[in-house]
Amino acid sequence: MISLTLSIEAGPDTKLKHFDNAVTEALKQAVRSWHSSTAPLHFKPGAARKYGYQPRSKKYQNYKNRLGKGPLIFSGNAKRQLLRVIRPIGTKGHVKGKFVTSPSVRYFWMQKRGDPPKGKELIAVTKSEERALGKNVEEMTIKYLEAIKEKRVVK
Amino acid sequence: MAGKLDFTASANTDKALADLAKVVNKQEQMISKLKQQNSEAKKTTKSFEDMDKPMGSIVGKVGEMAAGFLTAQAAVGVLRSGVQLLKDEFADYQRKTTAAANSQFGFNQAAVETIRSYYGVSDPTGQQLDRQVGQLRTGGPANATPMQKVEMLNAFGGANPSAPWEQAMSAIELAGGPISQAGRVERAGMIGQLGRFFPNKSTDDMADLAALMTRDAGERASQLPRAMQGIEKLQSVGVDPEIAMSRIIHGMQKKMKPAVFSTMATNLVAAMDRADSFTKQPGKPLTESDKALMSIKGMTGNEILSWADTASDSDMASVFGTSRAQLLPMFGPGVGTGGLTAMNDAMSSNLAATEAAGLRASGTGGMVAATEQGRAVAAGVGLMSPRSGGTGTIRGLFESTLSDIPGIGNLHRKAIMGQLEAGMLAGDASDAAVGIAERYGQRYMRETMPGYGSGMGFDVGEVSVPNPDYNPDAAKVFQDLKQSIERLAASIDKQEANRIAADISAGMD
Repeated sequence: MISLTLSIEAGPDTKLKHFDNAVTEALKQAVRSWHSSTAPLHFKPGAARKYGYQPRSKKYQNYKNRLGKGPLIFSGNAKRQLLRVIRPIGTKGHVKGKFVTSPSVRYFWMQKRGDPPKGKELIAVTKSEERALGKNVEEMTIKYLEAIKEKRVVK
Repeated sequence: MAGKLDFTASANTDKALADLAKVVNKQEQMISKLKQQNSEAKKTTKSFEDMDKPMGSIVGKVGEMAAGFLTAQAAVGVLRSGVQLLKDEFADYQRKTTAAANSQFGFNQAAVETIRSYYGVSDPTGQQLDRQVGQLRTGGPANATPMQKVEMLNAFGGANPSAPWEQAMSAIELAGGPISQAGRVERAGMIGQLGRFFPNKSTDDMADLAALMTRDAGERASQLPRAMQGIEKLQSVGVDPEIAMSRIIHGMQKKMKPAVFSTMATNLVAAMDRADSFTKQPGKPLTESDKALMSIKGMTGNEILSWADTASDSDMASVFGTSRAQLLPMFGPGVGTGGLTAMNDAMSSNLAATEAAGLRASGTGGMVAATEQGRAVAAGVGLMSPRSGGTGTIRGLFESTLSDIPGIGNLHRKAIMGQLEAGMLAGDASDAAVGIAERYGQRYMRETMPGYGSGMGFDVGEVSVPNPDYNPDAAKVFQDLKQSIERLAASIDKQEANRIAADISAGMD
């Protein structure tokens, strides 16, 4: 008599069950990764051009240049807070990364009329960054699904 | 306090699902492979039968999964196949357009080049050229494509570049006899050459002469261009083309190969050269060959041909380099006169015009024969026993007959052949025969004949006539074929009905 044991690790049905979670997790991971690697670039010299910031007044720009301050930076406090923590919150297929900051950073998104939209400038992404994020999400989803180790044994 | 600034990211879940489908496919493959291995193991032991059920359920799950993914997968699949279809369609469209453009461009370019090279168009506006290209497109033989007409024009122009345009068009028209395209091109060239030999004669006469020569040459018509080269060669040594022509015609009527004339002409010219330079060496006796050369020394070409009519065998062999037997049909008393009479008779008749007119009336020259053969064979096939020895011959004949009928494509031919083959097996009610009948009857006929209906195991329907306006005879042939096929089909139906009746009666016992 021959007896065979067939073990199937995470069959397709299991993976389908985990699919939404996988996508959501991947998106969250993408948001975190953006926050840690890409967001700081918005404060580097050249970011204004790269991310299409609204031009500042000549007087203000001269002042900043004189003090050697990069874009989106005045005191440096907002930068410090914005780059500290991000909290991804999400459901299926859609994830929001909320910046955890003190109220003093409100001016970033509560600008007066005529002020540059600093909030939007901070979260602007270039096309290549967008593509890279998409690719990361895809890879991470697959990785997540492959990592499921639910064994079924058929004897 | 959490800020109100959000960095948002969203995913296209459909696309993600499609990617997942790839993973699933891999797993499906793995499972099916395992199942196969298991089924192989099953052969060795019965105990594995117990395992088959869970395996089946797993495969069932995979099936369910496939259904679960259907939306995303189907969407992706439909999209992909749709895109592929569009691509294919577009590629096909491009190919057709390019081919059409190329053929159009090919014709225009070829026509313009040919006309320019032979009929020296000098008007700066190009109107004359346009008119000539238009004439070439619409004129000429009815059954020749524009490019074929260009080929014919090229052959005529090459042979007789000084002929005016009207003559060229007339020659093309008259060269379109019931012969192959290669034959028509040769005929056009021959008309041109004859026009050069006889500049005072009309194109009609030359076409008649060419038709006469083609008819006399029979299956050796392909050697005619060489014979024409022979005339040209003889003309260069002062032989009257009319005399040369009359001798060729006479020779061909006596089954002489036209190519022999070319050899004869070459040898004659060489002999004349030898005779001119021949001087008797003092003290050296004359050989037979020397005597022959001495006798033609100083003669013109015409005179040598007349001399050959009465010359001895050895003299002819010396001068022409070939035995008298080979050249016999071309020489002898009265040969020149006989050939001349045939020539004049041909030129006074309307041989070429009649052929061309017959062609227009019946589509192609082979059509008439095809019609008769087709009718006879189609009627005869039904009466043939499938086991008789002549069946293959009849089939072959019929198939070749169908190939000759214009407008019958390969598929139609197959369909008709299939029907007839089925018909020939009418007496055979075996499963194999019925299978063949069904296969041919349904598959090919449905594929090829629009509006085809189905009958009991055998289809009979309207056989489409591809282009009845083109040739009324073709429609007739098809009608005959159709009747024949219907008759055969009815016979098969009858056989089938008998078989079923026999089965029923057997069952009742």
